[in-house]
Amino acid sequence: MKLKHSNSNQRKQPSGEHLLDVRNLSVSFDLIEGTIPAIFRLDLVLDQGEILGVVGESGCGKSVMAKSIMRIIPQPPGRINSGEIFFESRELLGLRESEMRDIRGKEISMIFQEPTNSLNPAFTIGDQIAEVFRFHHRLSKGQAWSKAVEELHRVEIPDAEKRMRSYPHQLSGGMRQRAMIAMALACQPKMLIADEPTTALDVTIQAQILELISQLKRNIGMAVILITHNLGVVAAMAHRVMIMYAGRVLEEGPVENIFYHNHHPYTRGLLQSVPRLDQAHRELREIKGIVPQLNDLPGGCAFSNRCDLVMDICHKREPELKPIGPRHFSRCWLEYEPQRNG
Amino acid sequence: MLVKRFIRNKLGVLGLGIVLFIFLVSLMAGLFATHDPLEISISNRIQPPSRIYFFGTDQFGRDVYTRVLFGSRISLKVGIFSVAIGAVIGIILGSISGYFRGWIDYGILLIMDTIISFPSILLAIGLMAVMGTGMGNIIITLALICVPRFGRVVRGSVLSIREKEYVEAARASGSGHIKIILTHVLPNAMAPVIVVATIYVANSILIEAALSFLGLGVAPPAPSWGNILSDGRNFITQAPWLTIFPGIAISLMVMGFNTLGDGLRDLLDPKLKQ
Amino acid sequence: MEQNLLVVQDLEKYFYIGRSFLFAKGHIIHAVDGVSFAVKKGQVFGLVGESGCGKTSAGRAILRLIEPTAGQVFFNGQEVTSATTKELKLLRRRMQFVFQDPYSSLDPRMSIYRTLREPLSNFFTHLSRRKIRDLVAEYLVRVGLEPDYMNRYPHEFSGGQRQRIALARALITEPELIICDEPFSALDVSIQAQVINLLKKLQRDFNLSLVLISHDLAVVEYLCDPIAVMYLGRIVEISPKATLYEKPLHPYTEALLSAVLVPDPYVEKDRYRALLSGDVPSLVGIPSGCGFHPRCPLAINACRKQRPQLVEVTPGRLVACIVRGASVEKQSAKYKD
Repeated sequence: MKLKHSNSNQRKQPSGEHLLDVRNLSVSFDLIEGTIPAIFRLDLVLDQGEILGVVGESGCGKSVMAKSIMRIIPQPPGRINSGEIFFESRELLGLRESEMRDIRGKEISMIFQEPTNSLNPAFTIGDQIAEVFRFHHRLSKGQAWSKAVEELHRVEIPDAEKRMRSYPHQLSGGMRQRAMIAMALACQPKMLIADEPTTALDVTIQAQILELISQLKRNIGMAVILITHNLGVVAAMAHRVMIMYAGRVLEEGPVENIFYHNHHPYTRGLLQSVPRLDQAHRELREIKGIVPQLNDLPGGCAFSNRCDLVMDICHKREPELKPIGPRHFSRCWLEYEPQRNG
Repeated sequence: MLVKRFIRNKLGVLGLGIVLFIFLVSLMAGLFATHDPLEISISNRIQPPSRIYFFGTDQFGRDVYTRVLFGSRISLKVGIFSVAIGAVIGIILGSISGYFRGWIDYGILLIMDTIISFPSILLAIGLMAVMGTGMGNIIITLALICVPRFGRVVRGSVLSIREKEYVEAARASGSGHIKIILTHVLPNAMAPVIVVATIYVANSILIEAALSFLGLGVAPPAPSWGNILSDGRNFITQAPWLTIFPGIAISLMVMGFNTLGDGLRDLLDPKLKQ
Repeated sequence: MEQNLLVVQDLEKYFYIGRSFLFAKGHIIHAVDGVSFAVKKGQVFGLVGESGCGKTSAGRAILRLIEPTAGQVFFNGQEVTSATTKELKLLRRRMQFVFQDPYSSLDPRMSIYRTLREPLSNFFTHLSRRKIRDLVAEYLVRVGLEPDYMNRYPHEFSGGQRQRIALARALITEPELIICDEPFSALDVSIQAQVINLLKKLQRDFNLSLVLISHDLAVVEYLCDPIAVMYLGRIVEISPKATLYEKPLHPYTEALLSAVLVPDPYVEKDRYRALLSGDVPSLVGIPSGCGFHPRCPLAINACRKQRPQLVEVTPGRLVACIVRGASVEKQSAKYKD
């Protein structure tokens, strides 16, 4: 069978332009049940001021990717098998832990789905935010405290001075998330990784938090990797979108392309299977089958056993990520010209 | 599947091995014995271990080896019956208490906490002093000590299980309380019970030995490891074999049951993690 | 005029937290604070709201899985709230429940067969073993699973499959009403669509009445008609599907609708978003009068003092708001057969 484009590397230029440039990242976990390949040869670029939405279902690897960039994957049982992560031309995987610590919280920050995981229940939020200033900027206790109050104001927590002395459990979910954002943005990082930041929040609070993130992003001028399974969040916030499945990127491109000119059957399937408030009468089309276990993937393309456009070759070989438009890529045999059933 | 995983846990297998070994020994004590455990032979008193008397003889010329062999029966009987009775009563009380809450819970907890607040050995001594010696009384006493321990463990499990949605689903399916307790709650609460049981068998054996040692246990001349130890107390320097061998036997049995319990606990834990 | 299958009248559920042992001290949580609505045969009634609005407690209280503190529930004319244990058991055959978490709603130690057999053996004591097996197989197929799955255990199945099993369990007694509490929330996006479509199909096949409780407005809008919106334990609006989205009456409904994100970039970039200020208040210490007044852009003085009743503004559209309900003479909406 003949392939028209076999060079999947043509999208990679030497870095220097991109804020973040992840190349060929592969991560796996060694568990009792066996070795689980969590991410398979992932490439990702992020430019200054950009919001990249990373969408996927459970097991797709989006959280593992985020934690790999931050280098907070416990190794063992995790293992980074290959790849390079360039942040402003510095290669992160090769840094010493002490150097990485200088970057975390200052240049690259992360916020999580459950604020209870990153907010220490034994300390007041004031203490925790102030600590960021003391550690990264070497401020005194008093200076750090006032800076922290400023931060709470910035994330629009009412009664900021009083709230400084609150413990996390005394705050509502939305407030905790704001506190976590305050902590993450205290040092005005160049990049924010937000891992399902609003999934655990009510819809009206979600709207507030997303609005806050947008605003702060504009003020600081930072780039954001926004990880979510919610296509609405991505539509509202992202410039570019990356669709992940079983540890791979299946489609990636500008947000309009992903929503209106998508190529990959999985992307299409996802969009068709989500009920839309403004189209209540539209029929919901399902994707058949179940989300696969990472150690039990079908041969060939990871999506082959659920795809309704599947062809013979899809079961045999896994396609490469192929450019199909300006900054738009898809990992699908349908992108390869004629002679598909070779 | 479960068996395979159990085998991987070497400690548990070791424990199981020891326990089975002791079971065998006690069943076939008659076969392995070399003498009559009660036979007195004054001319042969306080003999060190030899080819005739493997573990030596005590102050009455009785063969220590044979007595230790037969002693295993008493220890096992006491350990297992007391735990079995204590477990049954404890499970019933604990599940009623945890499932129905309210006044019943307070009442049962009060009783259980009262019993637990006494150090087991003191409680045992006190009860035996009142009731008198004899194996039946020992079993009752030790069962009583076990009841609140099982009760609390079961109550703890039941408290969390009753909040599970499958219990609610069973109610929505029309099942009554008793049916729910028997078919849903108890099977899911059993895991820690088995582990606790093995540990308390070991514990009961120790207390029995202590009681016999103090003369409150099994009446002489019946051989219990405790009273063999007790008999040998006065001759520790002259005839250490009188205390060493029953001591080893007790330690072996306790260790066996404890490691078996550990193995079972590890076996059940990763399953829950799944 | 069709008969109402389910009538809920002034349902209340209060929780007392803080050890109110001998002296009833501690705080009261008004989880369900006077909820009334009716469901007809074959209707899919949506109950939507954010966390803490009381929808989950309301669902459970209707079936008396938790006991209501006050109020009445009628099923086919028969009163559920005052039923004896025996009567309640018979009612349970016809009113079923599907739970949110497929990972904890199935007993991990029971095979699927035993789990599905349980409701059958409770209500149909005369069935032979062969007949039970046949029924279990039949319902497994109806929810899209293989009959020989009945010999397996819950941990062998994915979330979506477990939820199907939960549906089979609810259906196997041939109920007339099923209350579904967030049945899709714990599922992956691509699986949600499967279970949503399955529920829709089953509802049509069996002409079931459903009460669908969810925080996901898009899903509720897709499946339900009419839809009730809850806030702080009270219903603030009931509306047919057609008008809820186009013309919401209650300001909270408006805010909720504008906060829901649509998977469409052009729509989203242009949208006016009525951002609500502040947090969803806790159920301890509900604001006086209308619970929504601290966050409401339309609030007037009266809103702080008076609790608005649910008023029928046009046929089928009810709202509990002093401002929006003012155009019609106030009459409490009562549902009786």
